[in-house]
Amino acid sequence: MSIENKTIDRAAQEMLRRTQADGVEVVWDRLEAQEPQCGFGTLGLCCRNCLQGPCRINPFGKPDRGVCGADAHTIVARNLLRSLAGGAAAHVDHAYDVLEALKKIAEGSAADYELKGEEKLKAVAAKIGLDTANKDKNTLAQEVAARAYETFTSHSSEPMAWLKYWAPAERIETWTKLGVVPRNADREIREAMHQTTMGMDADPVNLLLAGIKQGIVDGFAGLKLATDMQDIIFGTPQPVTTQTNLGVLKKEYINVVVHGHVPLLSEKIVQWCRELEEDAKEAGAAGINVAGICCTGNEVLMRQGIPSATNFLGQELALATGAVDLMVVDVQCIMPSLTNIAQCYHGEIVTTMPITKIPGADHVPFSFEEADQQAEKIVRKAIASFKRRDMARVKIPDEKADIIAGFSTEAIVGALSKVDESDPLKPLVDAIKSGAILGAVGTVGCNNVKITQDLMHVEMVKKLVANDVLVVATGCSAHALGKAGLLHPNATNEFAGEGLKAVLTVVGEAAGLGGPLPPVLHMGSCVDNSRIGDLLMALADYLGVNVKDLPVAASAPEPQHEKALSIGTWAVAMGIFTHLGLPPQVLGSDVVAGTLTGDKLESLIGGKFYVETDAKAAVEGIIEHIKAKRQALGI
Amino acid sequence: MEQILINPDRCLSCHSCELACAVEHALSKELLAAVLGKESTKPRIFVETDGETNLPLQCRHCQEPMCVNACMTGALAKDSTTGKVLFHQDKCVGCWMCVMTCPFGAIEQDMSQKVISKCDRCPDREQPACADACPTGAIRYTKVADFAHDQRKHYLTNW
Amino acid sequence: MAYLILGNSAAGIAAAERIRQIDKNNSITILSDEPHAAYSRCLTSYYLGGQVTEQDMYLRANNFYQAMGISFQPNQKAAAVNPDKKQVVTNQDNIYSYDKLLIATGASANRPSLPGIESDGVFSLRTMDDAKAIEVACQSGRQAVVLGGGLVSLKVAAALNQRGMNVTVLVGSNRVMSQNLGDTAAALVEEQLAHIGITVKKGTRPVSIESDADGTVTGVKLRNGDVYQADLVIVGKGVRPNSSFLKETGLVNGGGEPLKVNRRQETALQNIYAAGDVALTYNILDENYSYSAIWPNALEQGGVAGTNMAGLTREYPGSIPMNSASFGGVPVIAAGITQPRAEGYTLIEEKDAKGNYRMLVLADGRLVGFTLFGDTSRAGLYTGIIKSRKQFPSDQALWQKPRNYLSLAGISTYQ
Repeated sequence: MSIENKTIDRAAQEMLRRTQADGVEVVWDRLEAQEPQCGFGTLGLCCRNCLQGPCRINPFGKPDRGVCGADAHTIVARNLLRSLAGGAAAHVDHAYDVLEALKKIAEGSAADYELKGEEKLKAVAAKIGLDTANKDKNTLAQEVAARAYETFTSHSSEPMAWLKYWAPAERIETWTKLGVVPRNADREIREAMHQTTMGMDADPVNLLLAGIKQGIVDGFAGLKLATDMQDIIFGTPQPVTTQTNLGVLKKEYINVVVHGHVPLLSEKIVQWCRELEEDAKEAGAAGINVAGICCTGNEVLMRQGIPSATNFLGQELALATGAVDLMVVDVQCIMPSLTNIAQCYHGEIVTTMPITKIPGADHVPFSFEEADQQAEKIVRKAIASFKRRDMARVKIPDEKADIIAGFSTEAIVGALSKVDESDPLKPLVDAIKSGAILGAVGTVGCNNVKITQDLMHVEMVKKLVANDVLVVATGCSAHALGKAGLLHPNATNEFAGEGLKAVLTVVGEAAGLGGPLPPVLHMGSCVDNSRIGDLLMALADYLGVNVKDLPVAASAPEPQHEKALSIGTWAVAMGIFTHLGLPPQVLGSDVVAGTLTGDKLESLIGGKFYVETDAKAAVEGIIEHIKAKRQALGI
Repeated sequence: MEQILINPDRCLSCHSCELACAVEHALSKELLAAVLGKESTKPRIFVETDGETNLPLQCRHCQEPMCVNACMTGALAKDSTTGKVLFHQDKCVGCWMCVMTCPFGAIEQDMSQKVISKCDRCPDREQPACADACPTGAIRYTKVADFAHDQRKHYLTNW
Repeated sequence: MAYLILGNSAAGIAAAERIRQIDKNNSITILSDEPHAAYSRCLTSYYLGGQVTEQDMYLRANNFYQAMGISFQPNQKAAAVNPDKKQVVTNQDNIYSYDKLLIATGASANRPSLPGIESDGVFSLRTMDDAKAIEVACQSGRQAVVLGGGLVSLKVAAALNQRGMNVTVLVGSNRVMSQNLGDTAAALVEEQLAHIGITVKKGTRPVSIESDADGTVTGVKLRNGDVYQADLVIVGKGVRPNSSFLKETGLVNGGGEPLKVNRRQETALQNIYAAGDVALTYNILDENYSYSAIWPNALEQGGVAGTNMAGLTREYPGSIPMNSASFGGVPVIAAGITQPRAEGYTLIEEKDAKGNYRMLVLADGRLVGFTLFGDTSRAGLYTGIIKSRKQFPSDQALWQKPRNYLSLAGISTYQ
């Protein structure tokens, strides 16, 4: 495969030429070595859930059942449910971690942190029915934490706490009818594991309903709860200007890269990089430069203006610059190959979490209680590593793009309120009603090595904004769009349709940008998809309709992780038309694939999956959907 | 001349070769299209096991092919340049004489069409689909001399 | 050096091709007593049944002889061989010299000496011309009687049935395919024949063929006096080697008996080889020569003869009796010893719920014969281990092995 077919990111291309010349194996090489990939796995037709297996179903004939008697539909549906439970578990565990941190901070046992998001704390507390008057923030936070904990471990069969507080009544009613209202997150994930063991559920439709439940768990106990807690601890993001792509690394500086997903670690690393600036200079560096990868990069980008180095597929290539002195990681999407690449070029890999260790990496256990001490230790390792760096082997691509990021829901409403202070959503709703804005699409999710890196994200978004569709983005999609210049106001003039451009200009100028807003609003990390959910719920509420009726869609153009599947399922459960740029491993069952993408599901829940691998066709499908929704709304 | 050569020690019985073979002989020649299009297709390679050893087996394209001797229509013929045992389906009448004589049991009967099917070494591919799909290198498409060399090396280095 | 091949079918063609592979220069001449380029005799019943066209029956491309540098002489039936002069005389009085001679003249259908056998409408099926003649004579809805219950007879019966004739097969013995099949398998085949509408009468003794005043066949009369009305009669009573022209050479006595050969397909006379239906076949099982006129043997023997004629040395590995047929779409394959008549053989058989029948004949833990009806898949695995003489721990062990290569032939023979 040519380098141009591997990635459209010019910095990544340059680094790929380097790894190729050096014979260093990276993710694209490993894909090639894996190809052709197992057809049974591709179709979801392999079952390893008991020791009588493994079994696989022949898509073209016999055997059409596994040893236990499970057929293709059962096996595919079970495998999908396990994946969804895996994705939900990742976000719920993330949320649990930040909740635990909140509690300890509020109790004073994590003294290295302080609660910076008092406004958010009050807003959350009010929303969940707590009396906020005359309470100091730590007391209030403890009360919020106690309520939040019920999301995971309640012993009742009542709807899950965070869902009960935030989900629209219409949704709860719909989900109740379908029997998919989660009781508590841990229980539902546990139940999914149980439900998919040997001799359990064989009904593919029942298994899919359980899958929808996992999506709802992810959305409320994972995404929403994590974002709320993170905002309470670190503050709610506001727009920042910064830069992205490998060109943000600086040759004369000590380069520390934070990679992973949870801001608890990365915030501390950023802080200590600033505090040890003088030590860095003593070591001969111009200073310490921090850059982010993946979602923890998005977290510090939004709150601290830390530039982002690259997205998921670029993580190895960042090391290939030879300029990264230390990469510190927490959880999720971390390639175990990083240590090999670091050995070939330069830099230390530091793991920090008890459930994410990599052979060959330096492990520094990270805890809330001793966060400062550990963060300092890690940054000092970076300084030491810098001293070992071979400057002759440093090669940083001269590629970086200016971006504006950090559009939390609050920030968007804030910007809109500059246009209409008394009724901030009105300008946006008016623009949608008038057709200046056709609709909105959230592009989210990963890179997938099977798709040319960033291509699908960028191609789709360029076409969407040209059609006056407002795009909001999170996760690796946001990184991809940032690298391609789409998180910058210039892109509004270059790519946006006339209607969209006019609206973005009015809002941008009112907000004091001296020009339009970018055509794509960077709303944060993957857990920050909940911000998109909040915005949609607010819009629906304002319009007096339901989320499922809005002229909007979701898209994961290059999905890779189980998390993408569970987020996508949450979106579908919210009633949103959800595009995937690559089929999940379900095509071995026409029942499962057909149900997920079928009109029946849409009629029951409002949303469905839409799989289209071609960017142009995908955009056409999405726009057709948006127009249908507009028509139904009579606008 | 390259042959499909098998190292049974490496076969894990994953049946990927069978699936890849079936896909290659589907009209669309593409997994997802074949499955979504509900195409009817069958493999010409079969993973056998006797409980201890696994063996992916297909037409060996014998030097002295019994099936070609037995074929009374000329549907099976040995190509002297490529060494392949070629099958011309339009000449096959389903007499099953080749099935009766193939000592490898590598010729399948398509009872609905009354013709045989067997490995054609994937004429549209550089490397047969089974060898391409084999994740362990149990099925290799290589020259006998190279294969033998590797086997000898393996034997000597594991002495 | 001149190679002369008498016979233009399986053995002759295989020999010519092999010679040409080894010897690119010297002349090869093939004489045929027929006008046609090489075609497949086995397909004559398929032609009759309408499954193949005449064009389909030709074995090689149109330019085969030219491309191979073979001089093909049609309508030249060998009349005599003079080993001293190394010459063959044909019934056209043409003389062909040779340095190496292959006798691959095949066999002809037996014509029992029944009264009325020369009547119009009485045929055998051996050649393409036979098939065409029968094609002209057969008429849908009319009566056909087939004499003989062997494989060829049944194939013709099925072909006539296919053409819409009402077919009765008169079998002398108590079952069809008595040379190939035991009672159970024969009964299964008979069921299939009945299923497609062919009547089989067993234990019958035709005594004469009845005809009308014009000499056109009207029926077949049995010893018990029954007369089976017939508009068409097919005589399928086995074949006889075409060897009578060799009387002068001493290779045969009266003619009609098969030629003796050694494993190099050499006859008793120097530079004269024989292969195919005119010769005896080395049988692996009894380690002796017997008559086994089947297509695969002819091809393989022709190849061996050709190799030796061209100066290399090659031995015929030997064969076993085997045959394959399908009636009503249900296949049956039998090979080796299927009806043991001596002590020391074990016969294991099984009919499954789907109507598949499997029968193995074993001796000393070795497979010596088998019959498969219905599920004939991978039958060659059995043929293979009969030929390899592979020994199993016990008869039962062999019987229980799944029908796959690894279990039956084993990896050691594979490597």
